[in-house]
Amino acid sequence: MIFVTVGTTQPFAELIEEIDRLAGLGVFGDEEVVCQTGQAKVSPKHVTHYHAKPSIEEDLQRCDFLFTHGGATVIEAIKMKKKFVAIANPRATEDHQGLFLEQMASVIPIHWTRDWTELAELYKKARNAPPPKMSVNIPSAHNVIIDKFL
Amino acid sequence: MKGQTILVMLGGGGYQFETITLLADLVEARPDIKLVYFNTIWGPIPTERGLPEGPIYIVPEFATMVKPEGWRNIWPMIVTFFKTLYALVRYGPQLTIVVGNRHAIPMFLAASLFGKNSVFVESITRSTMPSMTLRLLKRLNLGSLWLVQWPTVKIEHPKVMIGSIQGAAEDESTDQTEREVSA
Repeated sequence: MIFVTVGTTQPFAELIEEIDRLAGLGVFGDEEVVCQTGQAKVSPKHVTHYHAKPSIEEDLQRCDFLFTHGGATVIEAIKMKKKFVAIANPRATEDHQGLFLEQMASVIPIHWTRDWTELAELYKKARNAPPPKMSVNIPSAHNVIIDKFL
Repeated sequence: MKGQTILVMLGGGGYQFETITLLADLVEARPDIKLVYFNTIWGPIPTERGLPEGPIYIVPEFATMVKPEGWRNIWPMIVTFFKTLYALVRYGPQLTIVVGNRHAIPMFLAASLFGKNSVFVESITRSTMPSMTLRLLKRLNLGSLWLVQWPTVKIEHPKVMIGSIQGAAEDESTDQTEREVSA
């Protein structure tokens, strides 16, 4: 299954529409495509879709490939060892999704873009590449909180 | 201190993932912690990561920050503020934790009225510019501790520290070893 998630805070209709167009062209073959559409007001014809769920964890676990906006789902995808393409939502405040993906790409090889018209090409590249890996476990926020307050 | 209660905003989407990751680490280290949850979507607590059951309060989601719709944020602000006051009175949490979410502003405001500590963790997606929420918290001096997850976040304040929830790749530019900026 191919899963598409655009987050819950900003609409990203362009991504859903492009995925729907590519699904219509048969780019994804017979694979099922499931889209979480969030605030986008769209009615895709070639994919299964829903607005939001309390948790998208199950769909993330189940998918074989992921298209995601440039949110924290990128980190979740890497932790789950998923192959993915990340697309920066141009409506994100101060282009923070694009800057985040740029920063990530500077330390780990990920497939990402600001231009959703590149999706078909990036999909082929990411599908044929191994999933990106993070290898270092480092001190985390919980230690700071425990030291200070608990 | 044993058996402390923490008030936490789960939020939606990526914020929820980051929050659950942090809480799972906290609970693993301190299994005696009790949690009171705020969330924007009704649903079960994801207990598969070991989070304990706890009371859940649903608060409205904020509108996007697009200017014509900005006035709609007054309602979630008011509702979250009063629900936080109620939770503070009923459960007496010693600490409030919010990751990335704008609900931090009314929640920390209410917590400050009770003299309680609160921690804001900037989302990992903020790698250069701090979010509007963090900038507002700074301006209003709300929060006992603010954490950012990239050393490249352009912010200066004695309370800001470098922490990380998820880990990073092997590269000096993401050396997120905890670094306290304060004296």
